[in-house]
Amino acid sequence: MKSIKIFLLIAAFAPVITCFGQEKGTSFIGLSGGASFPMGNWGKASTATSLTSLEGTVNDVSGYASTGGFGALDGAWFFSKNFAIGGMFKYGTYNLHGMDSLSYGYEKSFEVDTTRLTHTNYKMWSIMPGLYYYLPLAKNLSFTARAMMGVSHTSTPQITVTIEDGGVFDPPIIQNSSSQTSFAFDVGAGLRYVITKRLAVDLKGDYYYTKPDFTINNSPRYTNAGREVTKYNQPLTSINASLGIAYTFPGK
Amino acid sequence: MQKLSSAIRGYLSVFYLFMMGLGGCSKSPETVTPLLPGNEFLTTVELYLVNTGNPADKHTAIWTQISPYTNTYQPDSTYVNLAVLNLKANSTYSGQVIILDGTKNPVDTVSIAIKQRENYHLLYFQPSPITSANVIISNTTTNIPMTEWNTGLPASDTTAGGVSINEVLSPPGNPLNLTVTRTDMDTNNPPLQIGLMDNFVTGAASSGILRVVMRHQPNAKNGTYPPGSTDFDITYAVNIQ
Repeated sequence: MKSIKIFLLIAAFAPVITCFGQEKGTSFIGLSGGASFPMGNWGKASTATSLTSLEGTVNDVSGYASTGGFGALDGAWFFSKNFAIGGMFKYGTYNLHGMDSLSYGYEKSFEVDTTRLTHTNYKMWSIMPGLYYYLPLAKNLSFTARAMMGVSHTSTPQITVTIEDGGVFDPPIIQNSSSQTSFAFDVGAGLRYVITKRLAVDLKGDYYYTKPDFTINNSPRYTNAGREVTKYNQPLTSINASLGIAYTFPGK
Repeated sequence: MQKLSSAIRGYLSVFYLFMMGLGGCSKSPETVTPLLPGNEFLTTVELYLVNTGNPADKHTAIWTQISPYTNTYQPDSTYVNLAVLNLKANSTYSGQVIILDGTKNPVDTVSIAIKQRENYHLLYFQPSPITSANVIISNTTTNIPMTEWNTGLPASDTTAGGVSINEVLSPPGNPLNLTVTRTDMDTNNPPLQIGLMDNFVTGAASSGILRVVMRHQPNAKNGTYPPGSTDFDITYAVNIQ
């Protein structure tokens, strides 16, 4: 929310600030990639103790998402000196952390010799049109900001826990991957440095939000114990830092 | 214009390769969690029976691997002198299975923990000799499938009184007139029997053995014997008089 406030503040003062601008923004297409830092419950990992349930299953709001990587393709067309409309396509993946706790939780819940846990990653893509803002700061340096909203499609990881006790493998616990499309928004700001007539380097920071309502299927649970997540409706928010390169189109 | 489209094509190619790279990062790392520390030893199993018609008629049969001579755990030995049930004929006994860890001081009553883990534990009670008609395999009977019976063990493998722990059908011998039914239920959906609390019903005078098996069936308990592994598998001598 802090990022939104900063963006709105900048937008409010934009007409004043632009009086000092010397250069008009030029339409561009950009390619960027960077790191994404999950926030809130989505980025948290539960403790083994909190995941231990001997009678009855236990729900889990933690998403275990660790720092992810993403790539984005975006572009914008300037309809005025400082403002442009544009769009962004972004794709990212997030590995999981805290798997030791998750695995221990099942081991303690079922009191078995060994649990083996394997997982896939979160996958997320989004398409978002939005408004771009451009403010020259120096000869080759400019401030950029953007506010975008659109749709996001997210897939949760598949988590497979193999249970072994007394040399016998019991039916594995499988939390299947689930996909959901949801509303998303992204607000961010950055700096653009022009390196050649047509190329510029972008350094950006963004706040990203989406809240898909996942229904998660699990393999048959024969005994009423251990962690079992059937619904996941937590905000998937992240702070993103990226470095990119932009091609600026010839303009007047 | 050609230069421009070439540049855009170059951009898109790089973006595509980058996306493919991100997709390639989807791997399935394995986290292996080894044996938890501090697991209990199941050193002693007691059958505590009270005659429902005569509460003064109580019996405790003790199967243990705690040496009565050194009071230490001997995992390769079984001290069966007390693993004997002497029951009255034509009676009903309320039974309780008490599982102990004699390596702890004070002795740890593991059956409390088993009760907490009732949703994946199931006890079986197999009297022998038994007529084949009385071997009924279902979710609510305590008979062990005949494919899992002890049949070829050496005669030296005995319980108290030198009775072989091999299970046999009757005839040729007379059957042990004992029927065990579980009376406790877990919290699975639907609830399944556990076997820590039971009824022992005796018939006419007879003798034989009673094999008791506790199955550990994590994410597998369905009321039947096969899934899971065995926590303990022990045998008592039984005399019905």
